[in-house]
Amino acid sequence: MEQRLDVRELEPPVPLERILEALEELATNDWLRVQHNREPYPLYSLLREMDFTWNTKWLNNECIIFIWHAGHPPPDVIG
Amino acid sequence: MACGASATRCHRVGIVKTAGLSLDQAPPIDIPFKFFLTASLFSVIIGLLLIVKGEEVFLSRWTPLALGITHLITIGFLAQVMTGAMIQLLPVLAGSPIPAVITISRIIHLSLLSGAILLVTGFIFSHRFSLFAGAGLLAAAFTLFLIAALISLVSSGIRHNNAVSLGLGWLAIVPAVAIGIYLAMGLTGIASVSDMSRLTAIHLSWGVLGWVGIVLFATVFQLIPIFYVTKEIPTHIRHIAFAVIFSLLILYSLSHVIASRLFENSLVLIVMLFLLLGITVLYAIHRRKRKILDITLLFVLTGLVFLVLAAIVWVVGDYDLIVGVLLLGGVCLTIPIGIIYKVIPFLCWFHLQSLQVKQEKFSYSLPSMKHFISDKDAKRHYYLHVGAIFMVIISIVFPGPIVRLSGIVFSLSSIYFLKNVLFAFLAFRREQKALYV
Repeated sequence: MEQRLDVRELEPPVPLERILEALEELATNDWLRVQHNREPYPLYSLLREMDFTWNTKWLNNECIIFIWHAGHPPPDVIG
Repeated sequence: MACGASATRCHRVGIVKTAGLSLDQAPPIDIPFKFFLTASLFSVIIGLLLIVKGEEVFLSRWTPLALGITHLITIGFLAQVMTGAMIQLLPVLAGSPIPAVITISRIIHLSLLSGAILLVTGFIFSHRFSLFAGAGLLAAAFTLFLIAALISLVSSGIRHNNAVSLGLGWLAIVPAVAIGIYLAMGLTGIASVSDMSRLTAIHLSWGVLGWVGIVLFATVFQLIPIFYVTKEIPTHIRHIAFAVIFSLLILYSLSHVIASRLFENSLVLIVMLFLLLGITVLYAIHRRKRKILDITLLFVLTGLVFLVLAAIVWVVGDYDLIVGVLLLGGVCLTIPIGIIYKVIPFLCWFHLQSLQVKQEKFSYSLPSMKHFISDKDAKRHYYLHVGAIFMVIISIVFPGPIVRLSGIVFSLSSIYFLKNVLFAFLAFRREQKALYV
């Protein structure tokens, strides 16, 4: 199931904090869809360390990051 | 598109992997702190020189002391701050690490430090060997930094939209240093330099407008939307503006060999363009949704106001020294200080957050960004800094005892900056230690 998070209007480091909080609660088969206004490079190092997999794409000037538990199949919505 | 951890599977489902920095690749936080602390020490030296030799500094922009202080600001302070920030921010913001970052940054830091000391003592004591040794070390430091930054950007595979702007800015240091060395040869009688004054203006233009101006604005364009959630300034506008500024600097340089009114006036166009860029930033800040006047933003805004004042004074008449103080002290010190006060707490927080994840100590409550540099401390420094700039300007107009007083205020402001950066570092170390226990 998809969990959604919009961090576009938040000042650093709040977006990172919110994403990490949401990931703590993320069920094994769920994925997180984050709407961001830029590519969050600092986040990737943390995701790798926390054993998550991610996929980033740009849609209408918005950065969409899908994050799911490593070892699980990517969400179908990624296409 | 980016895909992490299980890259193989992602490739199989058609997702392209792009850069994402591993925690081990992130440069140690000591690196930017070392550069920033050294910059603040140079700033303290400027204040002390104003106290001891204030009257001599403001006799003319050509006095050895005035030349020394100008280079203390540009090489002592700005070069340290700009390279230190770039080394740390390239990986964090753009995902592109500098190769062998600890060794490379150590060499760059030491070369810039010793180069600035030698160059400035060379100016102040008219010592030929110091002047050339300093210029040589600085040229080596900049060359090494440019090569390292280029390798990092190319190897990361990232076509970062600000890389072109920053690249142009850093490219401007090449003619600035080359002309600087030629001028030093002229000053010491090794070469015969015709029209020293015009060539100095060209050297200054490449250094202050090209290098500092472009890198500073490119950094502001990069960081303002991130840290203050403003709208992005369109990439093509930035690229065109900086490319035009760079081209106009080439035209202005040609005025040294080709007598042309058009070439000479290109400097006016450059100033106008910077004013337009400044107004664009002010507009973006004004239009942001969360209208909180953060103290770090106040530093940036004040720097932009100083830019407008410098342009007005420059147009009004022959007040080179005041324009110099407004530009170097008002713009080139104020804006970077604001950026440092925003970036340092973020870097501290990010490094601690990374360590927390690595140590899996999720029960540990991380301090907020304000813990590292409080608003109260930044505000006190702001008043001292702006007060010092205005007092220096007043002491140019009304020379006398106020010159020394302006030196005292400038020194206090610099010491306060040093204290704020140092305390942020110590606070980081305490938190880091607690996470390791």
